[in-house]
Amino acid sequence: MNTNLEKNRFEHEQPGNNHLEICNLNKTFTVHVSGGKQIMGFEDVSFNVKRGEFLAIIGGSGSGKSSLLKCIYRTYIPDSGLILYHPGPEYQPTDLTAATDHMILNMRRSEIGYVSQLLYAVPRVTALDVIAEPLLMRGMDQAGARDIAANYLARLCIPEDLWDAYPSTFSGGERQRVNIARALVASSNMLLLDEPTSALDPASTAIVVEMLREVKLKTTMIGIFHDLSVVREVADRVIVMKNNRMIKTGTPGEILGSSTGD
Amino acid sequence: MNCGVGEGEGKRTGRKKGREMEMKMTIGMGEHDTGQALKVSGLTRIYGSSCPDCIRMTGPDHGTNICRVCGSVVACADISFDVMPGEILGIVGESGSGKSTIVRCLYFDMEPTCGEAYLRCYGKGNIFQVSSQEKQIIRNLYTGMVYQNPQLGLKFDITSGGNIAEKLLAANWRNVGRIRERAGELLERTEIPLARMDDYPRNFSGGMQQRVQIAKALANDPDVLLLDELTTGLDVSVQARILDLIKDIRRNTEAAMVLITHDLGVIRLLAERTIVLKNGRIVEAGLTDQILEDPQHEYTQLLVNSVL
Repeated sequence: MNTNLEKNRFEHEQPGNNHLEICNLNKTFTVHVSGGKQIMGFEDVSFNVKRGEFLAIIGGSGSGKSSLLKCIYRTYIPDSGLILYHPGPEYQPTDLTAATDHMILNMRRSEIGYVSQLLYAVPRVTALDVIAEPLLMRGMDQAGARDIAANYLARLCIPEDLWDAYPSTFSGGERQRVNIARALVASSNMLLLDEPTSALDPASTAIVVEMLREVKLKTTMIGIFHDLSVVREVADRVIVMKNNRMIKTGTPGEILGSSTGD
Repeated sequence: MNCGVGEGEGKRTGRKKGREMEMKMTIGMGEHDTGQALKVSGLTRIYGSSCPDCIRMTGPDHGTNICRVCGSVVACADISFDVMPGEILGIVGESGSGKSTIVRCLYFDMEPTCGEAYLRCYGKGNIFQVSSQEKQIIRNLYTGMVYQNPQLGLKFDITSGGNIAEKLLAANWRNVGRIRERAGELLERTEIPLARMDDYPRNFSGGMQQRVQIAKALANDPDVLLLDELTTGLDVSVQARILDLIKDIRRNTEAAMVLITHDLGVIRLLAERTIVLKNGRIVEAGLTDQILEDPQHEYTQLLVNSVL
């Protein structure tokens, strides 16, 4: 199976067009507090993501999807393998598994964004300021940043009287939308999405899907989804994970069938 | 280069230091300059007579920092880290793990047994090796310290304004009007009512005392701020205001901060990177989210799993 993937990888490769290359990546957790127990994250994962491509990762709970995403963002440290990030044709790629903490922090500021599944809300920061913060960090003035933030909140149908409230008091769905807006406003070159629509109702999901499609042209995205209709709508390619391995890759039509096909 | 005394009121630049920072960068640490505001390497502090076996016989592998051969206490050994301008580095670990010793050495409250430290803005080499006059200059112009115990950082029989003025006077400020103006500005920034400027810190609440300490530490726009358990022992609403103040300082200055705490919540909120200490050694260093979500060392796993 592995050789098949390798073959695939080289057949589809257009030189210079890869944004991310993942080669034979492995992750296990060693839990010292439970007597050194080993917990499998995922093993032997290899795939490429082209610039501007939307890659969806699907699979059951515990199949290693989130671990994979967190290894790319360096929240988790992979055991072995390579994660090559290509900033652009004129730059050398960076191996994210070997990059220093300072390098990773720099990349998080401009290159790679992450929308978490866990909805961690920073206390005592209003919804507007949560979203405006990435803009302020890039030197935009307060008023301009809050303006843009307000636009996002309006589009995501967050009631206006909540804009100056703390997201820690919001519902799960409202918080998730604030999280998404914060990630989108940062306009990173690559966005990692960990179930960004899991807590949303169908109407909000539709809005988020529309926003994802808009940024797709300038942003490479890797997203974990359980909602397969979302995958059909946004993904260019799908990876299926099962039992901590990558078992299939293909277009949404190939993987999910063409029942609602486009 | 113009980093010594006599800079006084000229160094008062208010918010973003911008160009001045860049200038300092070019004249900074020479061969040690790779952009870090602070670079520490091999910092070691041993209490007691110390013997050749002290380092080998202590540390996390032995579960102790007391040397079995000579009884000396190895408070910290071989501590190396760096902090970038505008960055907050968290240092966590249990009581007695050597956290405070590190910042006390950096603020010259105690002398390290060996080790080196370089400040980007101070171009005269290892700050542990310079004369005591130079150390005084570094302490007054380039670093600021907030102690867990406000009695160490403030003189309780001098007014809050006077405490700040002391730091300004040490940096060669001479104009009383401008000193008062600057003290007022700092108190305002740390949310102390101006009416309390001529009141004594002994009459202040614990949270206010910490804020006066922060105002004092900020007086000369330090490049490195050392924060030792600054919210420990305060009630949560007061803690929250202090933490917000630190976030505000990060937004509006380029100061590099070393934040010592045993509270992982504080680390999660403020620090981009974290180092974990046990028995005076660094057992793990990494991005804060990695330390909290994928801790590698046994002790870090214990620490993360012990959060209530």
